[in-house]
Formats: sequence, structure tokens, C-alpha cells
Amino acid sequence: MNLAVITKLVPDTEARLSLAGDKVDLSDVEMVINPFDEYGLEEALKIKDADESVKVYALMVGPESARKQVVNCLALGADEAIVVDDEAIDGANPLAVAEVLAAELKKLDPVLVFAGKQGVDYDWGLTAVAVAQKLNWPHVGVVKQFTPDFAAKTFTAVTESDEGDLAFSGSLPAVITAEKGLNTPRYASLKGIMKAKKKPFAVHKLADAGVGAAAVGADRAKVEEVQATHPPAREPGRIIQGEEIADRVCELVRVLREEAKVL
Amino acid sequence: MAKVLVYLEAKGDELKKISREMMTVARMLGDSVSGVISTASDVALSSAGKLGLEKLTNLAPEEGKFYASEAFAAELAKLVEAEAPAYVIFGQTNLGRDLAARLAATTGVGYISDVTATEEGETPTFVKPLYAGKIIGKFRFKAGPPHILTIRPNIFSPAEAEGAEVSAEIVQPDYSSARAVLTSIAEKAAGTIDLREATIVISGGRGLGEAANFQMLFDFAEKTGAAVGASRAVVDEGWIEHAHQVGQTGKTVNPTLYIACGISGAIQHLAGMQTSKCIVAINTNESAPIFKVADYGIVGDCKEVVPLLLEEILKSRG
Ligand SMILES: Cc1cc2nc3c(=O)[nH]c(=O)nc-3n(C[C@H](O)[C@H](O)[C@H](O)COP(=O)(O)OP(=O)(O)OC[C@H]3O[C@@H](n4cnc5c(N)ncnc54)[C@H](O)[C@@H]3O)c2cc1C
Repeated sequence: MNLAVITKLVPDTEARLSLAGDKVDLSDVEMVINPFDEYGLEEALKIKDADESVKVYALMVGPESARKQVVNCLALGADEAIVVDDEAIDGANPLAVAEVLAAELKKLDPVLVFAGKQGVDYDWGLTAVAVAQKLNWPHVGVVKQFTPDFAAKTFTAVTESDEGDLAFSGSLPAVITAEKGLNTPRYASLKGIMKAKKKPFAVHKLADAGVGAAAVGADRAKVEEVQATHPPAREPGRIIQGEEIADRVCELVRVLREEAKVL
Repeated sequence: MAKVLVYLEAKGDELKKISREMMTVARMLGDSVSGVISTASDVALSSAGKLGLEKLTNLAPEEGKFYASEAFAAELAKLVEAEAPAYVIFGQTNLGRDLAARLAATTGVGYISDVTATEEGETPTFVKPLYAGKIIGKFRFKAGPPHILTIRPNIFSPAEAEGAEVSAEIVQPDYSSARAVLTSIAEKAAGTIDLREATIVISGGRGLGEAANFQMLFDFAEKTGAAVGASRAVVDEGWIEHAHQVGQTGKTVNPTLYIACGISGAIQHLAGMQTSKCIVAINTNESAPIFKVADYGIVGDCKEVVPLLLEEILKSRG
């Protein structure tokens, strides 16, 4: 039985981002595996923990330089990694990326595909759902609890919403996108790190994926980014002074009512 | 001007606030607005019918079956085909974003998520925070129509009802085509205010000292009509559920008033609350980074300040 985890490279959440003209300049930014994808990977690894014959693939459309980060997925327990790096792919277009991922996934024949609920860069939340659509599979998004039944080829999944918890039932194969809280990702062990060096790591071109350049090129994009700017800085605030805590609180409530008018 | 289709949401008998916010955006972008909703409540349906819609379609749930992305996206795709709207608007809620994405994938049309502003022009541009709000991105549709948008809750002002009430056309979604179906909703206790829709959010961090002290914030919330948020540190400690986490890997909130209690102000936390109208920070450490984004700060122990603050606010409200 095969499982696949799709991942994306994003800037470290600590990173400060600078601009080069109208665009974000990521040239000097530390890149990491999208944090939400880590919950997806952990969910696959939990299934593998229970059944050693399960094979977990880590799949990414991204630069070959992502090797360092993707090897960490192997160190954590994934069996094989595939990075599709081809400049013909419009990496900014989730539908183009999904096209490539879906083509690779067809060859891997997984029963489940895990992903993060969204990339913490552009927050499109579209790629994994589009993969499901292209594979003609169901999906459940933003999952915080997942229980597969491989014998029955079914699953249940819980997502959180403003109405309350939502429980889904579905059939496998399926795409599941992970919310934080789905699990607690493990750390790589020393043994895992040593083993990772010997695990298969493939770097593919579009041709290996079996996708034509015309299907995933920049001219297919339906949306264009016109401009990126920094948000306006907040006006400096002030520390409320006062002898006793009670005086400060009193003054705070006064300014919230009279100056800020928010009470 | 153009036709717009909005995917309205209800919670029990009540139309969600985001539904009225979508109407505001829809009226900015078009002059004829049709609505789609999926509800078993006649009350909610009637409220939706009063929004000033040209037409309203109810994707009527079956017994024990609610949302199903495949079936709903298929119905919406049919409506889009038949009515050729310029825009299809959803809320950036768990189900709204899910359906918007599935529809975008099904139809292959352009999709811009989590929009916080629109700028009119020959081709309108849509503003969307990127990298957890560190960057503001402006986007345009290159192809289409139709164009799919989700809008961030609590940003656009909610539209008032207008015009005559329209009655809903019932459509039975084809649940048999759906291989993942929402089968039960564990409804939250009445009176709990959604973090993303709250006017006041009071959040606690490690500075609260221990899990039990969150009770102070829940008291505050209950008596003032606020919602309770939290930093990731205390969620990971197990002091409070993830549903309350504010930040890059939690929720994004835009209340009128955000009160950070014992929260240092890590960049990932700021990501989720820095667009709040007014930020108050309570922290013992006067050089805590949270004070850099706060409009007002109190240097002090939040365990002492919060009960006093509650008392003072209640007094001022009379
Ligand atoms: C990938 C990633 C994603 C993340 N996502 C999020 C996210 O979504 N949301 C989030 O919040 N964090 C997130 N974090 C974590 C973030 O980096 C911080 O670790 C976290 O926000 C710190 O929480 P805190 O402010 O409660 O704790 P601390 O940083 O420990 O701060 C506690 C604060 O309380 C103050 N204090 C202590 N005692 C008192 C007292 N008695 N009264 C008043 N103040 C007191 C201290 O001065 C200090 O400023 C993320 C991190 C990573 C790596």
C-alpha cells in the first residue's frame, strides 16, 4: 500500500521579507517545508508505524535545491522522495502545479494523498484540492482528526468550523489536507538521518512526469500578481502610565472609550 | 455592470454575518446578484431571500447529509454555466474556501482567495495579504469571466437587506456522486462567539502562568461579548484547544479590539491579529515585541489586570 505526501517549499515563518521593485525578494530567505505539510507527513508516517509494508512517498514541485529540506522528510520516515524541477512549470499557478503532482501521483498509485491545508506563503488552499479533482478523487480539507479503514476502503475525518466540529465520511482513495492539531509531528532521529542518505531521491523533469510544457506554462495562468508591497506600519502606541495598576486600567478604559472609541 | 453569484452561509436559523459581507462585495462588483445556499432552515432561507437577490437557489440537504464538495461544486458549475456570472463569491470560511477551491479546480477558472479589499478600475484589482500579512499582494484576473473570490470575514461591512423577498428554488444535490460527505455537525453551545467574527478578542499566552487562568479570559469574554484567543505556545502546552489559536498556523482575526494578555508578540502571532483596529497589550516585560504593534499597553501582570479591566468596562457600560 502506498501513501503520498505533497509538500511545498516556503519562506521560514521567522523570515523578514524584503522587496525588489514590485516583487518579494526571496533570494536570501531561508526556505522550509510548509509547516502545514508536516502534519500531513506525520499522518502518513503514523499509518506506516502501524504497518511496515506501507510505503510513503514525499513529492514536491520545486527547485532541486529543496533537496536539503526534502531529505528531512526521508529522515523522518518517508521511503522515497521525488522533486519535479522544471523551469517550464509556472510554480505560481496552483492549477499548473496540481497538474504535475497529479501526473506523478498516478504513477505512484497511492491510496491516500496528504497535504497541508494551505501554503503559508500565498494561502491559496487550492493545489491539493485541484490534485483531488484531477485524479477524480474526493477530498476533505482542513482536517484535525482522521481515521482510515483500509479494509473497508473508507475513512472519517473531522474539521473544525465556526459552527462546531464537522464530521465527514468518505471512501478511499482520497486527498486529505491537514490542519495544525491533526497530530504532533515527530523529530528526526539520528538513525533516521543516517538512513535518509541511502533512500531513493529522484529529481524529475516534466517529461519524467509525463506532462507537456504547454499544459503548465505561465501563459495558462488565470490570475496575475500585479504588485507586492509592505503593509503600512502601525502607528507607535503608548504605554499607559499610573501609580497603581488600578489607575492604569481606569485610564485604559477611558482612552478606549474616548480616543479609540472601541468600547 | 455584471452578474454576481454569492455562496451564502447560514448557521442554524441564522444567516452568517459573512453572507451580508459577501453581498457588499457583490454589489461593488455587479448589479445583479444571485445567491446559493444550503440550509434546512426555512428561517435562514427567508433571511437570505430578503438580501436583495435576483434569484436564490437552495442546495437542499438530505437527511443526515450536509455539505459534499463534489456534488456542490457540480451544481455550482451548472449554475455558472447557465447564468454566466462575472464573479462567484464565497466567504473565506472552512466550507466556503473548500467549495471555492473545488469549483476553481472543476471549472479551471481563475481564483483569488482571502480577499481583503477591492480596487476598482478598468480591470479591478484584488488585495490579499501574503506571507501571513508581511506582504500585501495585488492581483488581477487575466482570463475569464467567471472569476472566483473568497473574502476574509470581518473586513467588509455587512449589507442591509433590500428589495422584495425572493423565494428559493430547490435543487437536490446529487449526493450519490460524492465520495466525501459531511454527515454530522457537533454544534457549538449557543452563545459562543466565533473568533473570526468577534468585535472583541481577548487572547492569552504563556504569561497567564497556568491553564486554569484561562478561566479569567472566559469570564471576561462571557460578560463583555468577546471571544477568547490564544498563542500557539499555550495551545501546544495543552492549556486550550487549537481552535482558539491566533496566528499564522491558527486563525486570522480582525476585531475592533484585540487584547493580548501575556503574549510576547512573535511574528507568527502578529500575523494573525495585526489588522485589528485597536490592539491592547498587557505584559510584565516593557520591551516585549507586542508593545511595538499595540496602540495601548499596560506594563503589568495580566492576572491582576484582566479582572480589573473587566470590572472597569462593566462599570463604564453601566
Ligand atoms: C512554523 C511556526 C508557526 C507558528 N505559528 C504560530 C501561531 O499561529 N500563533 C502563535 O501565537 N505562535 C505561533 N508560533 C510560535 C511563536 O513563534 C511563539 O513561540 C509563540 O507565539 C509564543 O507564545 P507566547 O507569547 O504565549 O509565549 P512567550 O513567547 O513565552 O511569551 C510570554 C510573554 O508573557 C509575558 N509575561 C510573563 N508573565 C506575565 C504576567 N504575569 N503578566 C503579563 N505578561 C507576562 C512575558 O514577558 C512574555 O512576553 C509559530 C512558530 C512556528 C515556528
